[in-house]
Amino acid sequence: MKGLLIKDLICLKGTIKIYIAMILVFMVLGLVIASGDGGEEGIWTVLGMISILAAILPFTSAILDEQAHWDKRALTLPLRRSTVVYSKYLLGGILILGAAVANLCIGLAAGTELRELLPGIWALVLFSLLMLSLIIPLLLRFGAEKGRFLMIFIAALLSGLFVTVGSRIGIPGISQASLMRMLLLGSLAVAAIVLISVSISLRVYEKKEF
Amino acid sequence: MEPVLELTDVTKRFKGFTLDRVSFTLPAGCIMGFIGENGAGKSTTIKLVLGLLHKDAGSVRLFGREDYLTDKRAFEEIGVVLDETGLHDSLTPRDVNAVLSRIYGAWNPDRFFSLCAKLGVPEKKRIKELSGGTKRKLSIAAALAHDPKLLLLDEATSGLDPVVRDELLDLFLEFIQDETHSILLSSHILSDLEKACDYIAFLHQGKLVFAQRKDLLLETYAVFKGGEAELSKIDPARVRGVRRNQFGVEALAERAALPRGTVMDNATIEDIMLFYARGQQQ
Repeated sequence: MKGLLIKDLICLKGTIKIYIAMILVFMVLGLVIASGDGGEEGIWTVLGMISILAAILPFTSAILDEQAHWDKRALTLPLRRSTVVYSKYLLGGILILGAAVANLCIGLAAGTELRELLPGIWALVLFSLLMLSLIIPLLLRFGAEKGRFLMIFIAALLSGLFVTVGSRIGIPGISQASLMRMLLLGSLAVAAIVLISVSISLRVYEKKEF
Repeated sequence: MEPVLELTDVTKRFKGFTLDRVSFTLPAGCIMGFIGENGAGKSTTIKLVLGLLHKDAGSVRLFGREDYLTDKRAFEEIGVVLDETGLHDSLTPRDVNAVLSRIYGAWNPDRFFSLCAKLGVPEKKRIKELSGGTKRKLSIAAALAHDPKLLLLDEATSGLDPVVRDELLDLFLEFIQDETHSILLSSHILSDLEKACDYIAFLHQGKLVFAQRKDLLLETYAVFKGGEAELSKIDPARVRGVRRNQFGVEALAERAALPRGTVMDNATIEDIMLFYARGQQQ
């Protein structure tokens, strides 16, 4: 598993550098927007974009794997098929966690209150995990080339959904307790979706031929 | 000697092609050359052994175990070279070491880098900057760096110049000095196989024609040259293939079946393959 993650991180090094540069630009933009009128929404757009980039990185990794015919080699190594599948989720998890930490730093730097920032980042993590859970089985089933369009569709759909739900959650007057209850329920739902996604991915990959 | 690899009636059906009940045994301490025309099923067989394809019937035993694909510990003992490196263009051999040393328990970085140096693979160059031959050498260094007992090589010497091929064959012969080591090597370059192999397995249109000791094959068969009248004196059951041309008849036949004084040449592996594959059609 460790070897697979190191391979992914080495291969994604170039893309991650570009994304970090983009995040730095977002950060500056976010801080500028936050300092201006109506900056509150602006900073959340930046944090949302960072989360989407993190959830997309495993997809980039899958494209690189497909180009290199890596899976064929991976299965000639002392690695179970399930390990290859778990490693894709773990990579996604690590990147989403990294994005959450980056979001926290940016949010705090922009002067967003922790009481508001933490639930928002939590929601973004759930959103990213949901996206990851939908993308990975499709990637394994259809490959990165065909999966590309499905991924764009899913990203657009979930972003729309998230913005809609987010704006409702953000209705002034909603109590902190209700918000936490919604996040907890959302977490349970996303955990169930992740588990279902893993089990589908394992079944798809087990049957796959190379 | 204890078999390292045993295939029994292994079958895989595709649309338009069937690998049909392939059975052979690779004993320890031997090199088996796997020959056959393009599309005969050589790569399919190797992929079935590796579990890259799922077989429809039959059984494969690796190091005596049929369940080797379940826990995959047996894969610590095998080194594989396929037609593609399966490595990302952005990786360098150093990165390959960093990745594979965390996957193979017995990975030996010193051995990997010394093999790279021996084969002229630069450590710091990205794979995309390497030539096809150097990529192949990198794959071979990676396949040998964890001291495997079995090498599965699919067209490992194809596309390489004769000097490099000779270097690699020497490396394989060095590997096989340990009596517990074995190699299954598929190749179109029959002269390489003739040089290095103990056994030859011949696949034709998805069926295994034979899997025999090379010495026995070369001792058993000869290429008869003559006319139809002389050919008719040979027991047809002991003739494996006939080719007719404007100068007469050539046939691959058992040496013992040829009448005394018959004009014959020693058969090469290439002769045997060609007569089996094409001789019966003419």
